Amino acid sequence: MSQENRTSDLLIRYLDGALIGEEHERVEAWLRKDAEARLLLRTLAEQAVVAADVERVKTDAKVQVSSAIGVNQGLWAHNWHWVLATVAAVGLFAIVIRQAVFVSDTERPLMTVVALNGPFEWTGDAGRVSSEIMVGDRLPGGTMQMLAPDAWAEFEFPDRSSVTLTGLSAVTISGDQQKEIHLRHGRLSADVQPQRVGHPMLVKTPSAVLQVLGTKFDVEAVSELTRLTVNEGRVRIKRLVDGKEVDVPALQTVTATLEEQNVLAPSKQKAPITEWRSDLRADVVKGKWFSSLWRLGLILKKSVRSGEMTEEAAQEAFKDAVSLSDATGGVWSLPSPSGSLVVLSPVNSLQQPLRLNANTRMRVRCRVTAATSLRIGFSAYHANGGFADKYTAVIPMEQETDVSGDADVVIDLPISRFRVERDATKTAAGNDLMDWWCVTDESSVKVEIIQLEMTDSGGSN
Amino acid sequence: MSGFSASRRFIYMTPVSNEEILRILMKSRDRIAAAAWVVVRDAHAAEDIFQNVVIKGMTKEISLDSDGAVLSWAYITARRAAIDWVRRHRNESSAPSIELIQQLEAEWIEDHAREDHRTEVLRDCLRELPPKSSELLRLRYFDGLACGQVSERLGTGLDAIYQRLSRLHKALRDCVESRLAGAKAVDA
Repeated sequence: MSQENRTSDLLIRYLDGALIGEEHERVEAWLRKDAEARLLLRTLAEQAVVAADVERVKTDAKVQVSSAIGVNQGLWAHNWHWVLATVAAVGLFAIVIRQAVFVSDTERPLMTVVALNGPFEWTGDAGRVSSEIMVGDRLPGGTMQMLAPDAWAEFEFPDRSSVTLTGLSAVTISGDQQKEIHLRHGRLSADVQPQRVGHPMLVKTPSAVLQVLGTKFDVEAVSELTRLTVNEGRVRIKRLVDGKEVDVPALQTVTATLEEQNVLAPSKQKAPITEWRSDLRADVVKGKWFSSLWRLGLILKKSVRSGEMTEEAAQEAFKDAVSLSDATGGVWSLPSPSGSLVVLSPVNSLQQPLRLNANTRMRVRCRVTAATSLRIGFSAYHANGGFADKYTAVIPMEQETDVSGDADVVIDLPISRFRVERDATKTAAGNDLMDWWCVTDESSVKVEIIQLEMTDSGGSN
Repeated sequence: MSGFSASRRFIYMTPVSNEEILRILMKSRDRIAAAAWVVVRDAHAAEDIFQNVVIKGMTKEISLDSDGAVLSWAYITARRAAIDWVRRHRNESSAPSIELIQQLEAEWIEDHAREDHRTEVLRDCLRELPPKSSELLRLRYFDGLACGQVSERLGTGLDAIYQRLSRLHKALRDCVESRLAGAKAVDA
């Protein structure tokens, strides 16, 4: 086989997704260095799309679906006049649709999309759902739902106030006389310019209402709990269950729940820590916590069914285990649009910020039901408040031979392994970790997180 | 004294018209779709992404002032859409790195100046392939089957499929180059 054929053969395997792990990395590194190899890769890709297009023309011709306008996709390159007319018509149609979806005649644009990352669904006031909005679009009121833990979006109002929605969050934004934000669930950060007297920005969650005159703050809404941290200025929070109100000054935090009706008192932010072990049961945001005892019960039942143990012996073993603590266990992933997902939030069990530095390592003990890649990531917030970015690391586990759901896998990652997709040079060191997630590459594969800890190998804690 | 501070300069440039944007995008159609395909590995998704780029190009509110700016915007928009598509369909592990994608995009943008009708020639070469070769390309790229699935469908070993595809792509390259060389000789 000639060198050219060997190169071509390797690239065809690469494009087939047949190369995994180190082999995939080697080909990637080679492609980045070798312009000739990249030229061949580009030629293969062009041949692939044109081959599909030629086939599409044949198929279209067979079913005669495209004759109405005298042009089909495969003929675009040959029929310029038709293309121009068709696409111009499509463009005009799209303008009309976009105007209808995003800004109707009776709706003034309320805000501009200034950043958008990851999958989302936007529902306009007329109830139309779209995932087609882009940076620069001016939108009237509507509902934004982010569909992945690493997704985020930032909107800016005409007065330069901005809100950033991060992670699996949903928010409805409206604003006639005053800006009103309904945070259904999830987390948002806001940088609010001074508002007109008597027209504060309102942020409503299922358990509280915030009145904002001009300030910077982060707010999180989880089921029946609202956690507010004010970074600059002052925010008034009203607990819905009893109507109690309190002003939260800068650098203070308050939590309002529907269950507790005790004093609603802000507390000063504590000094950050750099080492942490997750209290899985308390920290779970997305996922299902099961105690080790429950797992033992399953194993014993299986052993009885298979004849490996008698029922009496199994009951005896279970009784012995019951005397132990049931605080240990794991969090199983749940299906989501982005895969099988676990989300943990250290702020559920921690009073202090969790500060990342250059020596931070993330250790995860988990079980996976089949060999697939895991994506592990976290949301980083600036030390003085406000969303910083989403960092992700991909852990290829396809080559793991002992992945059966029974064997523990330990993943130990330095902070430098976590990257921002758009900017590989960006580092999370110096920021605070706000939430953490793990998602499987395939929705059918489940992951159980048994232990998650953050260590500071520099020992600065 | 001027009302503008020294740090705020306003530079006005003539924006590229919609018709010109369309011409630029259509000229690079196969290359932009190929850039999307390298990420998504699905020809229909790549075509959809290209069409959305065209629609966005015709309806966007941002002004683009040169061919290069239009192409740069188009490749970035296609890349973002492709990465989103991959996230939704969960095969990110085999997707190329951002660094590699950006290198490929830069080279594709350089290719834009090329006026050699390569794509039209490639279409002619593809139409003249023997039925068995056409079937292989159809299964792999139009039906979007992985080589393993193509191998099962055709009852042939996987390595043989890789080798056949490799030979077929080489034959297409040779066909295009020889016809372009022939056309140049005739022009001369």
